[in-house]
Amino acid sequence: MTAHTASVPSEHPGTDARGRWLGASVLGLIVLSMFALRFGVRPTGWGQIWSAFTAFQPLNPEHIVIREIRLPRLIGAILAGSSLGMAGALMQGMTRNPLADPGLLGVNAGASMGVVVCILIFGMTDPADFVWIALGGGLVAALLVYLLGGGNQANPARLILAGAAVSALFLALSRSLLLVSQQTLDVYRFWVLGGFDGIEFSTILTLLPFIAFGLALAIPGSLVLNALMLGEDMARGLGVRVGLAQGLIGLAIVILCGATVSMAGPIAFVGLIVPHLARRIGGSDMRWMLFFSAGIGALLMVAADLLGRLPLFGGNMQAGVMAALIGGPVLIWLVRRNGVSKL
Amino acid sequence: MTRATRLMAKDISVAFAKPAVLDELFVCIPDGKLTVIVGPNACGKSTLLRALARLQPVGTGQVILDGKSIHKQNSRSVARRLAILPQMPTAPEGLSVRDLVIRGRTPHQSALRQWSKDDAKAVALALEQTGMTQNACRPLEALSGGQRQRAWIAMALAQNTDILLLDEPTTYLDLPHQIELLTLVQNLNRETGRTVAMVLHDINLAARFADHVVALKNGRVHCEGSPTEVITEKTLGEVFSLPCSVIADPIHGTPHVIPA
Repeated sequence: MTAHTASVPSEHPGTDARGRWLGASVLGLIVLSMFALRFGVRPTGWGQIWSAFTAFQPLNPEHIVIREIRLPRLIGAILAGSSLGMAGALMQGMTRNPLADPGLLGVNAGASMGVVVCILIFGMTDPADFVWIALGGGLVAALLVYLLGGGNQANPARLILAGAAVSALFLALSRSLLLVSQQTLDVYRFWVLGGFDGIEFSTILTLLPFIAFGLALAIPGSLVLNALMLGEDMARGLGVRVGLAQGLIGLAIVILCGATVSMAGPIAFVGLIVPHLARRIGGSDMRWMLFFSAGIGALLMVAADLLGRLPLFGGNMQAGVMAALIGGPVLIWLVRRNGVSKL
Repeated sequence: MTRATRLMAKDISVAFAKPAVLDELFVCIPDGKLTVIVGPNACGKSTLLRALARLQPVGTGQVILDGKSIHKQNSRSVARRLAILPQMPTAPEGLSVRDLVIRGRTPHQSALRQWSKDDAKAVALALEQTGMTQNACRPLEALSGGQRQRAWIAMALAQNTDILLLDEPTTYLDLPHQIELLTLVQNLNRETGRTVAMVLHDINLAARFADHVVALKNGRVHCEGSPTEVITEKTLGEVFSLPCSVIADPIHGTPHVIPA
């Protein structure tokens, strides 16, 4: 009882509190972005960031590093983090399961399988080429999980079991394919750790429409999810076309994850942990949840990518690994402190 | 032949439903009245209510709302005329009463128009009518069972429909809270003229609060009418196989069942 009363303020933030958090996260993202442009293997100064954008010199190596390497990398991290955060929020809301995450429900494994097929059979190495097949793999895995999980009678426990089974299956298939070819393994090994090395503007431009489309589905989806989280019967009673809504939200999840996976590899943890943080800040209104999940996801991803570049971590730790290193302890802290909210 | 009402089930059959099936059932829900559906376990009470609210697909026959088949109408437009509160609904943890009640406005909102003055008015009125204004900011799980049920009813009221269907709204409430809740529902029916239909287990409470009682047996309407017409020793014997005496409630005059 006391626990409930004590947690009321944090769980029912007013619009003011949400506004403050919103401001704080935008500010945080700007500051982190500046750091991300400033630090890296080649030392650059604050002034050079400014001049790289205001007075670009095409032959200045610092300017080239900032604009052609660090900027796309930063944008990639922001897009990947916010996409994964939103996908996790949608997934947890739709399955009403606080443990749901694109990794647990097979979407990442399916997309990874798609990428392995791309590398092995089509000899592709550029993430921009992976995206369609990665999306296809993610979609197949999501459909499999949905069907194995009981179709429209799915319950959260069955879905998680189906997700674990499908993930294991796709992982095993990917690995057996990798055994065949050393060359594929080399490309895959680099990609699977999850990172933003070598991301170019062209990659981002290819993936941007996908992420925009996923976002366009996610925003109305979050509105419907508010009703859907009261149970399917209640949602139908409120005039929601449940099957259609679930299909569109599912599609949004697959697109957001598929695009991210093909760009930066199967990044774990972000989709799981970000919605829990967002719920602390934004309460249980899915519209705010989606918003904060995008913001916190971007923050976490940029921070992970930045920390991974520090000499402390060998100067080149993949962002996916780093995100899990940060995310793991934060998740344990969250669970130990407040428990995980039932959805 | 009963005269047509806004909400009717015309010879509906439901073959595969849990826990019970319906067999060419015909019923009209009287407009502006408080109707209670009674019957033994697995007689199809909930299935009927769910079918009336288009939550349960029907095999043959049709549910008619305002002269047209409910399944052929736009679901949002139906949701602006008919609200249902299913049995034991669940809400995400931490959801406040106000946020819950706001979700009752879903059929009146769209992606472009997410909040309007009408929404604010309907939410405030629903909270007031259910006496939940004081508790509006509290999370649902911090409320007692009776208050929680009132919060859900407030949500259904915020939907601002002429017809309200409630599936066993008194489940898991103790007697004082059952009486309190049913009095609330009765007052809403009297004061706002809403048509209310609900499933109740307790026949004595049905007798006390209903204008119209529908007794189901094996997926069909066994009989219907005013409480005095339906709640008789003969009907109860036929519907529930319950040997009993029925006396007039010494205070309210409604039928009162005393099992033998």
